[in-house]
Amino acid sequence: MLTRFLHRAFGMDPEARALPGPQPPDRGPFRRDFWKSPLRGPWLASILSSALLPLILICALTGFVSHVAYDSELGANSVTGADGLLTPIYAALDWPAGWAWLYAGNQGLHVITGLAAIPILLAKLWAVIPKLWERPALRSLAHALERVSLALLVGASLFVYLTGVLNIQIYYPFGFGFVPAHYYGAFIFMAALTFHVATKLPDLARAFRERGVVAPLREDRASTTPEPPESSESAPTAPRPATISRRAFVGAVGVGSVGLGLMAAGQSIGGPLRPLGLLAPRGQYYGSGPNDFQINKTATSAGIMPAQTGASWRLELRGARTLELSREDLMGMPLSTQKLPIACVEGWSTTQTWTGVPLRDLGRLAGVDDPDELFVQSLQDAVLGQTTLNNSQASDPRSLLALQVNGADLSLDHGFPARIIVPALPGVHNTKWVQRLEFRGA
Amino acid sequence: MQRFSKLYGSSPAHLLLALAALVVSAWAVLQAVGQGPPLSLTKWFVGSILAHDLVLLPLYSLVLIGLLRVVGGRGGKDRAGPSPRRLLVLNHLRVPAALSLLLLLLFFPFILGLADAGYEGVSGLSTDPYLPRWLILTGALFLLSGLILAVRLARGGAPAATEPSDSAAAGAGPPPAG
Repeated sequence: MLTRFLHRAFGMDPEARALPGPQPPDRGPFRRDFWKSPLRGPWLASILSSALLPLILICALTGFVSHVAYDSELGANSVTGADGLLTPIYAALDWPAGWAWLYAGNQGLHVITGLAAIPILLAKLWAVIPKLWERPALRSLAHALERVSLALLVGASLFVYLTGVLNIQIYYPFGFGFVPAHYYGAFIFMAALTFHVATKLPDLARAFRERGVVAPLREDRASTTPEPPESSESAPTAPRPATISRRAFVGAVGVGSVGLGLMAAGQSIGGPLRPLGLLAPRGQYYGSGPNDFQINKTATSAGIMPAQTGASWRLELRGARTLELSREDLMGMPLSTQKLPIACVEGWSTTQTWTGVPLRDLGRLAGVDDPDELFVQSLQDAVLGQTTLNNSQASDPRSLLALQVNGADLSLDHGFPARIIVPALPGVHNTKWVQRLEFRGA
Repeated sequence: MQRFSKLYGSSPAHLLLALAALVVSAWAVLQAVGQGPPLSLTKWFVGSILAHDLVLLPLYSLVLIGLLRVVGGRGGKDRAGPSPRRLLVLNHLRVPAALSLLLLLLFFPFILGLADAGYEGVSGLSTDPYLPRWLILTGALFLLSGLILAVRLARGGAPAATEPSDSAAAGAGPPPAG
C-alpha cells in the first residue's frame, strides 16, 4: 500500500535500488556522463572531509563556548534571546576569570578554523556536486530523508560561514540580527552534520581502505586516474583525462586554507604577528602611542558626547550603600596595573597594560565584600551598554575599573573616563564609559 | 525488521538519527524565527544554496571549460587534449587566480569598500588599504606561481613526449571543471 503510494507520488521504487527501470533519458547535468572531471570520487570527498571535519568541530565547539562566556542567564547579557530548553545547561556553566587568555584563545580559534574551513568546504561541494543531480531523485524514504538532511547541511554550512564572514567585516546586507541567526544556524549545521557523518563514515573508511589515505597524493597528473564509476555517484562514468593532479588540487585548497588561517591568526595573536592579517578585519596598525590599539566602537559611533565625560562625570557606586566618586577620587585610591587582553567575539585581540582600581576594592567601598553579581551601566545607550559580571569576574584581583592604559589616560575611544577590564571576559562586556557599578548580593 | 528495511530503505537506527536531526533543526528554526524576520532568514538560507549550487559552481566550471578551450584541445575525437606543457602553464595560472578570487569572494565588502561606513564607526579606521592589499597579494601569488613554473620548466618538468590520450573514450562533450 505504502509502496504503491510512494511509487505513484514520487516515482520512488523501493524494490529497485541502484538500477531503476527504463525511464525517459535524462538531460544535461542529470546525466552522469555530464560530469567529466576524473578527480571526483570517494577518495577526494574523503580526504577533504577528513580535513574539514576537525575544523568544523573546533569552530562549533568554540562558538558554543563563546555563548557560555557571555553568561547569557545574567541580567541583559543574552544576545540570542531566551535559551529556551537549554537554559539550565547555560545557567550551570559560569565563565571563569581564571585564565586571562581563555576568551582570546577561544575566539581566535573560532575565526581561524572558520575561515580555514571555507576553501575546503567549497572544494568538497565541488567534489560531490553530481549527487545534487542524481537520478532517480528519490529512491526510498531513507534516501529522501538523507537528501533533506543534506539540503539542511549545505544550506546551514553556507549560511553560517557567510554570515560569519560578513559579520567580521561589519557588513550587514541582511534584514535579521547576526548573532541569533549565526548561533541557531549552527544547531542545524551540527544536527545535519552528525547524521551525515554517521551515515557516511563507512564510505570514508572504505575509500581510504581501498585507495590508501595518502597514496593518491603521490600520483602526478599523468598518472591521475579516475575512480571506478560504481564506487560513488560522484565518480565519473565518462571521464576526460586529468588536467590537474589530485595532489595539486588538494594542495591548492590547502594553501587557501592555511593562508586564511594565518591571516586570522595574525589579528588574533597580534603584536608583531598582526601584519600577517593582511586582509583580516583587524590586521591594521593604529600607530605607536599608548592609546594606539584596536578600537571596538568609537565614541562618536557610540553616541558619547564629550560633555558627558568631562569634569562633571561621576561614578555612581551602589551596594550596601550608595556613593559618587569623581575621576580624581578614583585616581587617589590604591591603583593596580595588569597586563590583560581585550578579545572580540570577531576573533581579534590585543593585549595592553591597564591601570585602575580593582573592582574588589570598589565592592568593599560599597559595603559588598563578595558580590554575587556586578551590574555595570555605561553612558552608551545600546544593547551592550550594560553588562552583568559573575562572582568570579567581580572578585578576581586582576579585574579593574581601568583609568589608564600603557601609562597614559584612556582615550575617549577606549572608554575615558573609566572602563571595565576583566580577565577572559568577552570584549563587549569590558564596558567603556562606565557610569554606574552595582554590587549585588552577599 | 526485514520488512522495515525494505519499506524504509535502511535500518531503524538510520531513521532515528534522521528524525533526531530534523527535530533539532526544527527547534533551532523556531528559536531563530522568534528573533528575526522569518522571511529574510529563509531567503538567505535557501538563497545561499541556490547561489552556490546554481550560480557560483556552474560559473567557475564554465570559466575553466573556457580556459581549457583556449589552451587547446577540446578533448574530442579529432584533437588530442592540451599538451602537458600547456596544461602546466594553465595550472600555474589558474591556481593563483582561484586563490585571488577566493579572497575576493570572502572579503569583497572590504575590497570593494562596501563595508566602509560600518567599519569606520566600529574601528575608527578606513577600508581603503584593503583593495591595494588584495591587489598586492594577487600579484604576489602570480609571481610565486610563475617562479615555481619557471623552475619546473627549467628542470624539464613537463615532458613534451605524448601522453596516453584517452580522450576518444571521454566523449565529445565539453569538459567541465577539473
